[in-house]
Parts: sequence; structure tokens; C-alpha cells
Amino acid sequence: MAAEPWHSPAGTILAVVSLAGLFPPVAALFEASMRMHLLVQMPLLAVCGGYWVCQSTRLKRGLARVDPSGGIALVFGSGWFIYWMLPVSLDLATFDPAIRLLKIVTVPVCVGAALTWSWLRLGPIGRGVMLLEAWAILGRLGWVYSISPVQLCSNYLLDDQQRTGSLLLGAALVSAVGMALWALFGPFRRSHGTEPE
Amino acid sequence: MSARTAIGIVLAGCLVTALLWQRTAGFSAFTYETWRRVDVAREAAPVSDWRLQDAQGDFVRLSDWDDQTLLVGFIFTRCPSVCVALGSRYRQLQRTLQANPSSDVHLLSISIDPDHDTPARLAEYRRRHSGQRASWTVARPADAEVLDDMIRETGLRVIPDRFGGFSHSESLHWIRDGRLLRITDWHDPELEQKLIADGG
Repeated sequence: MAAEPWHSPAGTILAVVSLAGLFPPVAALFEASMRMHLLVQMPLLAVCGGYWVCQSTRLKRGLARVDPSGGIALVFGSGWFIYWMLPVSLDLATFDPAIRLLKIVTVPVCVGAALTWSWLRLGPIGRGVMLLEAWAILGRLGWVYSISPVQLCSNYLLDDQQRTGSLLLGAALVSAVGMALWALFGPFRRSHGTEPE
Repeated sequence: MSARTAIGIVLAGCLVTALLWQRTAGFSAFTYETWRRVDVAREAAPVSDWRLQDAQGDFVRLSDWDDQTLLVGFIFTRCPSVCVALGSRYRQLQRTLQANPSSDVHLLSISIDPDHDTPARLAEYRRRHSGQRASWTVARPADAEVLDDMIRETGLRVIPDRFGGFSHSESLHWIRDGRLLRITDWHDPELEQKLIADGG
């Protein structure tokens, strides 16, 4: 395992693609539509932070000292997650360079890394709550975006907003069904022949 | 859970609450349009002396109305939806102004599509809504630089739609003495009272 994530090819690619979002031509590409911005760039940035936590033993040691339970990271990460789900933040990140920089820094660190750390430290019930809350947020947001007759983001057209809403709902549904199948047929399943207690 | 972790969680909670409070102007503005209104009301930011060309082809400046409050709406004449509603609303407001000559408000519609909206088309827009020249000026920015200044200074967002037009804010901007004082809805039912009462 690489000592630092950016020493591995996958880490390098993730870091470069994430940082490239600061340069106007790449930023224009990522921010051209609401779908690209919310469903491609944001998850990519978050995955970058999550990968960093998973790969860096030094970072994990540091986090284990500061936040051994993962509770601080959960609260902090959830707050920043909500921040970046607000239409106003999404809009400002498309034309205010300071907010764009904030996005490139905080989505990997404060959302991706923080939530990954808390996921690693939480037990099955905590993870279940986290997943349910994530689906609820995706569902609520997707619902609002798909049914709102008002353009919620000033930089994105209404049809783009509605399509993004449908995709968010789809993402919530697919991941929920996937997790349900995993819970039913995955490693948590009782072995064959065991009678219910 | 250790005391240290509990304190950490409380601090993290306070931090993110403060962050969300700041971004949403006290949990009141979740979209850019509402946030812009709160920001404008707080700052009363200065606007430059925009140079405009009116429907008669004459060049005018914002400072020409220095003793009046300007109610500025942004339109483009090809717009099939909100600009039509804005035109009708301005005609209603003009009737209110005509009935209350003591009001010092002047109506100003500015085109965000100056290449297409010639003075003749601007005049036709006002005529279509039975508007009169006296208290309602329809104009376009004199050049692209003025258009950029207007967009930057008001925080207006203008994005091309799929039909060769634009999607833009339909709010009304109150400007006096070179300052953007507030932004309101064009369908605000109290707009007439505001026109009469305090000039905005």
C-alpha cells in the first residue's frame, strides 16, 4: 500500500481531476449543467477525500487520536454536506472564484474525508442511520428539484433542474435497493437452516 | 463516549450551524435569488452611472434621474413569458404613478439583449403594453461594457435558454442616488403602496 494516496496512480488521477476543477476550462465543463456539477463533480471530489482517508495510514493515525469514535467527523461532514446541497452554494460556486476554491477544498476534506472516517469508525447501527439519512436527503432534494415549478438555481435552466431531480431520486432508489439486497443476501444473512429465535 | 468527544461533537455542531446560518442569511435564503435580495438590502451597494440608449434613440444616464427613485426591471423584447408579465405590471404601476403625481418613482425597463433590441423594438415593447413615455423609460445598455457592469453590480444572472433567448431574474431593483437599495418581487401586492408611500 502506498504511504500517501497520491503516490498511487488512482490517487494521482483523482487529485489531478479534482484540482483541475479550479481551472476555468475544466470548471466550465464540470459546471456546464446541474447534472455534471451535482452528480459528477461533487461525488468525484468527495470520493477523492474518501480515498485519501482509506489509503493514508498517517492520516488515519491522526484522526484516531482526534476523533476516535468518528462522531465529530459525522457532525462536521453532515453539516458541510448540507451546505453543498443548498442551491445558493451551488450557484455561487459557478461564478464566484472564492466559493469555487472553497468547494474544491471542502468537498474532499470536510465532506468526503470526514464522512468516510466516521463510516469507518461507526458500528452497523450507526452506518444504517447514516445510509438512511443519506437516502432521505437525496430523496427530498430530488423530489424538490423534480417537482418545483420555480428555477431554484439561477445558473441552471428548469429542465436541467428537473432532470437532476429525477437522477437524484434514481440514485437514492438504486442505492437503497442495492443495499437492501446486500443486507438480505450478503454477509449479514443468517446461515441456511437456522431457525428464527 | 468520552467528555472530549462530547465537547468535540458540540463544537463541530456549533461550527456547521454557524456556517449554514451565515450562508443562508439566518436560514432565510436558500436560493441565490433570495440571498441576493438579503445581501443588497444589507449593503446598499453603489452602482455605476450606466449609460443607456432609450426608445427614442437618445443616450441617457442613471444620474439623469438623481432626484428620483428608479424601479428597474430587466427584460428582452423577444421574451415570451416573464417580460410580458413585467410589461403589464409596469403599465399597472404607471397608472398608480399617474394617479399619484407626488410620487418620485420613475420606471425603467432595461434590455439584456442590446444587439436585438433596437430603440424601435423597445418603443414597440412599451406600446404593446399601452405604456407612456412620461414615467416609464425603456432602454438598452449603450455598449457591452455597460451590460457587464449592470450584471456585476446587481448580481443579476443571465443565462442563455434553448430557444435563442435568456433565462434571467424577474425581480425589480430599487435604485436611488447611485445605490441599489433593495430588490423586490414584481408581483408583490404591496408594490403600489411602496410607490406612493416612500418612493420605495
